[in-house]
Amino acid sequence: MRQKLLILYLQNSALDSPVVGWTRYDGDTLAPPVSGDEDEPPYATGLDALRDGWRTIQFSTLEPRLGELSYQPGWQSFEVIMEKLVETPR
Amino acid sequence: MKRLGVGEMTCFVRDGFLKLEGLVPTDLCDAFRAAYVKDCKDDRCGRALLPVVPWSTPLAGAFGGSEVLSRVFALPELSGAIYSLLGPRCRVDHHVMHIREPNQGKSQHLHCDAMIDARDDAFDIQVMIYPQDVTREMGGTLVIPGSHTRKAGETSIARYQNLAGQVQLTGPAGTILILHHNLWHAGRRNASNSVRAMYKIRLNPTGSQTGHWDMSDYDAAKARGPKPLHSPATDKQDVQGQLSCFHPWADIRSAHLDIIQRTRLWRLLTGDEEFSVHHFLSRLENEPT
Repeated sequence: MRQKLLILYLQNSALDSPVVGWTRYDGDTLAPPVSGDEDEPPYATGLDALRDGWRTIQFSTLEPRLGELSYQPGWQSFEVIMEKLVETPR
Repeated sequence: MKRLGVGEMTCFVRDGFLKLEGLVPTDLCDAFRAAYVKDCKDDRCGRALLPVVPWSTPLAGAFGGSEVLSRVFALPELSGAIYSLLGPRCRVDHHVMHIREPNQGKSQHLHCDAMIDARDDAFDIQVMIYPQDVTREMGGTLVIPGSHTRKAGETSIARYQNLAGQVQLTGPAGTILILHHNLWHAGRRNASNSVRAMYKIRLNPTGSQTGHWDMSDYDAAKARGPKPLHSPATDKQDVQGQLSCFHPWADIRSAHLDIIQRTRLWRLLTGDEEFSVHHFLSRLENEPT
């Protein structure tokens, strides 16, 4: 079994909110990951990815952030890590 | 010199960078490549060709031994942009060549240069100069518009591969990018058959960064005037309209805080401590006794 990861960054904490950033890691290929080459997200929302068979394995926690009370924005607040497992013969 | 006007300044505060397309003339680009790129195919080779400049050397006179670099930094649009953002007597932090060989499989990770930088009352700029045409296939610098308000240390943000609204630099030879030091960026993979070179210099201010741009057509009262909440910018003079945008990659939690940070940066560059995008920052400053 090999793992494919799809990491989605959402506009808010709801899984059905729009995808504003995305990352892929594919354990089934030797090709290196590439930054900045894609113009369109793979799914419009996190829920669309779920409906396409991606299994959610981690959400960002929902809690106040250090720095927010001095009005410093953080990085991406709402990260969802999803996986698919593929059968790959050696 | 040709200083920046209100339109360029609002773009810089909103996006964290400016693009000066094809600014360096063709003959100067040719001379630049002949002096500092030659047959190099990697960074180490290109850097060895540059003059050594000690950090904190005043930019004025830093390149007395290089006619090419002296001519580049004397270009009125470039010297005016540097003056507008940093003020007089800025200093060289460091400079480097980045050279990417053809047919690369890998890209750089998204990052901010150097360690996390907590300054709110001053900023450095980075000037990136591309002495040859840059096509999309050649993998010019990736920048995330508006990310200069998000303080990050080096490659802590490397996991972000694609963000909505990201910009892949392309342009004719002589194109220049001017970046706020906190802007998230990365060198994209060069999938073409051509070498891609980029010269980068970081510059530090030595005094106040307030009011050095061309404010002759800036109407401070109009910039502060009431405006419907989140209404689109009507023109380049519509400072609140320009600075109130939500960048498409920003989550809603941080997008309002970005506006607070842009407001603070606009105050720094104008000296107008009453300026507020809508009532967002002025509301937070209201602490009746």
